[in-house]
Amino acid sequence: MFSDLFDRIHLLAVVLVLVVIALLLGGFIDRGDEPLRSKRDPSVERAMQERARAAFLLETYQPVDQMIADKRYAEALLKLQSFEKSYPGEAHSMILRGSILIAQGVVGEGIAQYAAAVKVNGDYVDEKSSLNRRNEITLLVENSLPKIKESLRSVVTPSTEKSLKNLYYLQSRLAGGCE
Amino acid sequence: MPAFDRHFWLIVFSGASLGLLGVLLAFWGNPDNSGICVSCFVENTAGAIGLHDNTRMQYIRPELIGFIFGAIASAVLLGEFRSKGGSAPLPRFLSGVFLIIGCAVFIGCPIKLFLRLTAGDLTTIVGLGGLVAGVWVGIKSLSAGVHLGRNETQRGGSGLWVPALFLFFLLILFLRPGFVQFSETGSAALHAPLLFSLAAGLFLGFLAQRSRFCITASVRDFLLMGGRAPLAWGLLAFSVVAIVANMATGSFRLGYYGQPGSHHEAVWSFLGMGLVGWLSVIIGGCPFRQIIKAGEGDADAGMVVLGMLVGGGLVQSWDIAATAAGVSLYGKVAVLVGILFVLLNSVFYREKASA
Repeated sequence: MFSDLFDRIHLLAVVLVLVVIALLLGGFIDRGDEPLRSKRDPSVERAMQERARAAFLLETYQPVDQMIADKRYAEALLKLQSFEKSYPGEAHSMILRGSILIAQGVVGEGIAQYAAAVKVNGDYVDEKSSLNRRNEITLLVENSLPKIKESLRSVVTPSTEKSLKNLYYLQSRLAGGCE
Repeated sequence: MPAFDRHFWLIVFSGASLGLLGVLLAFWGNPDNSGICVSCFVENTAGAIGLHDNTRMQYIRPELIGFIFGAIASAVLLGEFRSKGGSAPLPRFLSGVFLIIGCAVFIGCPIKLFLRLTAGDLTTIVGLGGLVAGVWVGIKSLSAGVHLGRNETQRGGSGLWVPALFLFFLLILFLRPGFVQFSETGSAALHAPLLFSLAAGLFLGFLAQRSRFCITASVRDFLLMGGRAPLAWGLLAFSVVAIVANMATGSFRLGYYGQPGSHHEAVWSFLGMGLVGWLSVIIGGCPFRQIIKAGEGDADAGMVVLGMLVGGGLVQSWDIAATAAGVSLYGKVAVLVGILFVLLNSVFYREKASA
């Protein structure tokens, strides 16, 4: 290899191209509009979008959070209904509705709302996320699972079975693993 | 009983090391029961380089890079590094895609299947049944004359390009240019310290190249030779060490419900792993083994690895990958298409004895 002129010229060209790449990446050669383009770096864009999204949700739904804290549950549910018209399918509405329903003792539907929210957005069980509600969901699973199992021993209904399935789903998500 | 020679103990050591590091990497930060999962790592890496946009599944997993470079180091030291290939490149590429589809529907590669099983996850039993059944069908296919053709030493450096790609991955892992995506939340945000992962990958890649240990080959040899197969003893060592390590690290949770990264759709777990087992026998190794072979200069395995990367992108982009909620419609259809793919290739690539 590299014994004749053809090979040597190619080797020289390879070295030359590598040097140019290194100079380009190292910023030693004018990179044209690169400084402008780098302002739209996709990783920065994405981080901004994610944080803006979380901030938007927390700010927008803050009145509902306040109503829940004040135990004005009926009012909070009405407010959520109005949000759902503007943002249909948003997981934050589901998680807040779940929280209200659990507080009102409508356990089965509350669990279903929590499970649906986590299916849409796993950030609710993620400690690193600003939307994290891991402790709340852990408490829900720990409290409800024995009760649901106990009630299934006496009467088996489709809704209780559904609740058990949702609780197992939440338990599995809390346990971690790959998604 | 097998011959208790040097190679036997090398296999046992490799199996034990894979089991131990598989548990320890999760203990050090990788997702639970996913200390080593080639398919999950491929999905993460595919996401990091922009092949899918699931923002919770994007990270260039250093273990994969370590596997390749460990295998290269071993192959070069032993004088086994040779560019070879030329055996049905496109079917192998597509096999790589379907390997990842099968794994994604089960949630994990064969290594992860055993890591989950040894952590007490009883949902994996049906997946194990699927893997064994798939390997058995694969053996039957081979004995009926199905094979993709000879892999021959090739001129040029075809075997260098997949290692070169992983060298590029190593560079962008450290340099982190803006076009590479790294998850801030989700399972891809969970990882062991980078240098630990890289070192573990290098060590295991080196051992796996020397010993030829892999999960599906162990199952295959056990079905063919029973207890006389050294690889089966390697798998036993893997399982025993992983159980002990899971118990020692508090990761052992015996049960069917609430297991990390699992679902209860038994039929699809069975079929997903069945597809992986069947394909692995036909193409000569599971996802892990394909990566090791690519590190030996095997361009055919390199085609499978490229297919796996594309598959890693597709399973996330097309909602094929299963979650704890279950298997999506697209996931079910994709597994069936995979089975169709192997069936058709079994017909097309079958050499019948001449009358």
